Amino acid sequence: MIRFLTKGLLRDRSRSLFPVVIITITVGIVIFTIGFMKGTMNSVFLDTAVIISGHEKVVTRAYKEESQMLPNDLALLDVDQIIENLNNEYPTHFWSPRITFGGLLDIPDNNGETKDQGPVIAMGIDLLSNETRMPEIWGLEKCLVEGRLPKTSKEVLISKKLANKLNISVGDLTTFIGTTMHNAFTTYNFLVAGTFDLRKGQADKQMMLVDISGARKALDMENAASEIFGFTHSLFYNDDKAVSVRTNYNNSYSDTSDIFSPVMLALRDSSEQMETMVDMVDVFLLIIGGVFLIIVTIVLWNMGLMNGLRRHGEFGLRLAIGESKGDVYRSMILESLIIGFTGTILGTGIGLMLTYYVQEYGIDYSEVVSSMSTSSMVMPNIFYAQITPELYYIGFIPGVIATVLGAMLSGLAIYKREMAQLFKELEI
Amino acid sequence: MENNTVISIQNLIKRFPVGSEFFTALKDITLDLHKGEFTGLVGPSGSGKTTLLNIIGGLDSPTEGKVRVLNQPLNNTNHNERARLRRKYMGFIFQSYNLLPVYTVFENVELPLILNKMNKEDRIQKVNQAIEWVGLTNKRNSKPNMLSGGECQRTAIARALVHDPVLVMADEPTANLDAENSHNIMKILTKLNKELDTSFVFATHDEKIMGYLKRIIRLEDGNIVDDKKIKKENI
Ligand SMILES: Nc1ncnc2c1ncn2[C@@H]1O[C@H](COP(=O)(O)OP(=O)(O)OP(=O)(O)O)[C@@H](O)[C@H]1O
Ligand SMILES: [Mg+2]
Repeated sequence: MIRFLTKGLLRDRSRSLFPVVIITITVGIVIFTIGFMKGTMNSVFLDTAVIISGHEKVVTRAYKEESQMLPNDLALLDVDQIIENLNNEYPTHFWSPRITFGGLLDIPDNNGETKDQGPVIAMGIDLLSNETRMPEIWGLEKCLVEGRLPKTSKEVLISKKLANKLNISVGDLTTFIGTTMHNAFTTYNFLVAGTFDLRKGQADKQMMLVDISGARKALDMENAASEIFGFTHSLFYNDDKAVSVRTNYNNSYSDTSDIFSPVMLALRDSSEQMETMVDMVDVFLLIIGGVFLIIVTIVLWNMGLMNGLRRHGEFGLRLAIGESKGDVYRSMILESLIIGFTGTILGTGIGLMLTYYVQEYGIDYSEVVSSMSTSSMVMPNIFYAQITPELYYIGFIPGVIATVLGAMLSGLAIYKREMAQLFKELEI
Repeated sequence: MENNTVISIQNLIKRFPVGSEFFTALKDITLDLHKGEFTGLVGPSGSGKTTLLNIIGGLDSPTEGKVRVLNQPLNNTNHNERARLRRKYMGFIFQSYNLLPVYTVFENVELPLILNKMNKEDRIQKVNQAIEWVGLTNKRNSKPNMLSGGECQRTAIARALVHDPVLVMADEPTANLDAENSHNIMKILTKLNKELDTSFVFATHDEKIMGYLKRIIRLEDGNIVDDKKIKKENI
């Protein structure tokens, strides 16, 4: 009998192919939409995290109060020890020091006279150590416009915008003019290894990137850092975990009476805007995702129902010929299970592939975004999707459960109604 | 009850719920049908022919009264047992053929045998034989949508008879057919009735069928108003 029914199922495309296609498409859309929403939200978070706040960051209490002024005289000391503690106690994150410093960048001409000069915001990040993930999370390879990444502490990357403004080209020698962490005047020469464009609006307007060792030499900050950034290994921001790490750290390490004691800030603590955003995103995702899932579930439920109803005549006939109600019902449920699973697996595969593609390559919105960017929240120009674990199973809710429930419900008629009635439905 | 009684009905009443009321479609029917009979339930539209036929076939259940089919009281059998009775001993022919559109003539006719778990060689042989009875051997691999109405009904007849049922029920089998096809069908059925000793019950108001019947039970308004046997030796 199974052979007989399978034959029928394969031949009747309105029972096999079309439902599978519909389930595949809807499940694919669900997966991709949820992956895209999650990824977009996370890439907004990640961009802000990379440039401004980390998923967590550690600074001194005093630095936190004045952070807009980049007060490196209030920097963290004995940074290696702090990072070792962080790595041991919070292995869910990786921790990396950074020196953020401002000053003037001077471009000399052939005679050593100033050719061009302008303000620069420099970031000393870990570009050169073996295990560093900074080039990866900054996306430096992709952002590079000309030249190459720095290979020594003396080499820097200059943002394309700044390079254009100051007429800097790759290979130029530039002089940084600023103050050390001890508030002494300093000049330091950097070689321009390359230019980059973060493609995140105006965020990199005056930006220069240098390895932290170079920054330490320039500012006389041996084993010191403005901030220590922490990121989850997956780069996915989970606010609940971030808050609990931050609270836990501050309880054990932060001394409110000592302005030089370290304090940890979660991404949400970086600005009021960010805080609101973090709070809203979860609710927002839940609502959108929920509504979407419900709609799709109803659609597929309905399809399961209609497919069942359409076949009341066939069921009536099979019952008349002497198949038992249980067998007819079971074969119908089995059929919808097969259809549901096939469609869901295909749909999940396609959805994940699309999500993966957009996770790797993104969708570019450069034009729209550059006008919306602010200094406390970085808007990405490219939206990325994100494959999260729930994408692997969430499609089964509409794809299998709804389809099968729809079939089950419509099939109940087999039990409820007299068989004679099932025929009438066929004839009308 | 006589030994060759196929169906025995006593004081059968059937009521349908209509809104909050009941509509009585069959009012106190008492009736015996015997092996090999070629019986017609006739009467005006709405007189209860289909309802009675459905109850005999176990497709609908009686409200009151006793119905025994093949020595099994239908009143206290569950639907699995009734399904078994139909599967083994009954065949159905419907006004609207009720062929399964995705299957070929051969496969449609094969279905009752698959349900009876007959092995493949026997099945092929039986199906081919049944298809030959109704003269569709050259259409055995066609799908129903490629068949004429008469061919569809002949397929349905082959399906109803392929498993050698004791009793075949046919509700208006010729209502959708023209005169020539109707006579054709009735000739096939009469022949099979003779050869296989299968009992047939028809529900019909088709005059063309009347001539073939050996017993005519006339229903009116849910009551039997006439029941006569017709001696016909040489059809
Ligand atoms: N499920 C039902 N619910 C309510 N009333 C019904 C139902 N089925 C049949 N009836 C009523 O019972 C009566 C007998 O119906 P039935 O179908 O047996 O008539 P019939 O003799 O076969 O008529 P026809 O020659 O038109 O096919 C009709 O009046 C019909 O309206
Ligand atoms: Mg009728």
